[in-house]
Amino acid sequence: METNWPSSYQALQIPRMPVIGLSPMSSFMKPTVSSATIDEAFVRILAARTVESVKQLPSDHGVRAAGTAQGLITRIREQLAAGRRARAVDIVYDGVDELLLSKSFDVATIVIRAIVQNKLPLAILLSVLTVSLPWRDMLGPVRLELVEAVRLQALEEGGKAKVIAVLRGLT
Amino acid sequence: MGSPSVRPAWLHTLQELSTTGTDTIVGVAICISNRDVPLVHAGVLYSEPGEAPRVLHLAFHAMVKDQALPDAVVDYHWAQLDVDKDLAISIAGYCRLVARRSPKIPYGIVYEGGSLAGDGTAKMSGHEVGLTCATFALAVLKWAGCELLDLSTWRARKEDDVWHGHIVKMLINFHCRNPNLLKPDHIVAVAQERGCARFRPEEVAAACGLPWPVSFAHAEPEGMAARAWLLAAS
Repeated sequence: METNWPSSYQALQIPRMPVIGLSPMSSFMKPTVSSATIDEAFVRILAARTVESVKQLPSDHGVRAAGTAQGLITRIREQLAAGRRARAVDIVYDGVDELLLSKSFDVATIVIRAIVQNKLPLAILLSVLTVSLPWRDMLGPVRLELVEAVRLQALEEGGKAKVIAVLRGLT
Repeated sequence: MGSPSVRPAWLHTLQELSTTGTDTIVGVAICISNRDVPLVHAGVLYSEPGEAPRVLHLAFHAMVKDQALPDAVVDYHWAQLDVDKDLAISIAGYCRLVARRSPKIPYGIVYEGGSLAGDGTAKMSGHEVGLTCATFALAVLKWAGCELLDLSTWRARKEDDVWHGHIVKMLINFHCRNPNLLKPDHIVAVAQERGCARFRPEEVAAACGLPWPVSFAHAEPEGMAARAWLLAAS
């Protein structure tokens, strides 16, 4: 296909497209997205960028962040599978809190997005919402995605009353 | 002699705290820590299924503690926070996070809605210089989205003067033992808070089961009833 893009874009072929993860509201309306597996999320994380130039393609930094997300989610799932719910929550708090305290907001964004896309229990999502509350201005859109994921999951599990009960004060 | 005190329905004994269920329980625990003044102490209670209930509390200046309640030397009672069960799991996790951080939170009485900052230290607002045990519980729960009290309705009470004087004496004693942890300037700042509106521990506990944010008019009588019963029972 012929294009009029500048030469620096020609290697990309599919640039400047907000892929899954950067079009949060529409994405979260689709149940297929929220039931993604870890591997699917991993691929999406790498793709979830609005590419403005070749330099902004997923970098080593992005790959490491995705690895961090994958490791965190694996550990959470292991604890949940073993019936250790409180330990799973602790992993969330420690993992996300460490990133936020060190102001690694890029990595935190990828981790939070991966948590959102992996259909984890509502208590886990609420823990991310709680620990990220003081940082909401720095996290911006990804925290809104998280709020929306919590809203949808709470609605599914307990209707509007549960949505109000869990989201009050955390948005 | 007046009629014997009756335990408020919202105030439970530790024996009434079931750890055999599947739900996490969170709330506010209170106890009489000194009968002579008397002093009521409060902390955030959290209990995981199958585990001993714990209380996260500001024991005093720069002393955040997380204790298993069976190990406590005083007799705690507790009120359950009326929150969704998933949110309770999250709040308990947050309490453990604060406990692991063990932040050095200064003592202070004026409270205008401060909470804990991202790094676990106290995030003061307005004229605050620190937190009390009661406002520490409010600050922890505020982080979790639970604003229990309607702060704007609170009033200063003359009878809190005795309590305030005792706290200043305790701070001076603390300074003598820990001069590096507590500077005289801070004691002066707390002393200057005399006459401020005080959020009593028993009022914070009482608010757990009421529709929040709870006003002074609703919390005070419930708190007084709890205090009278705790004193009678201790």
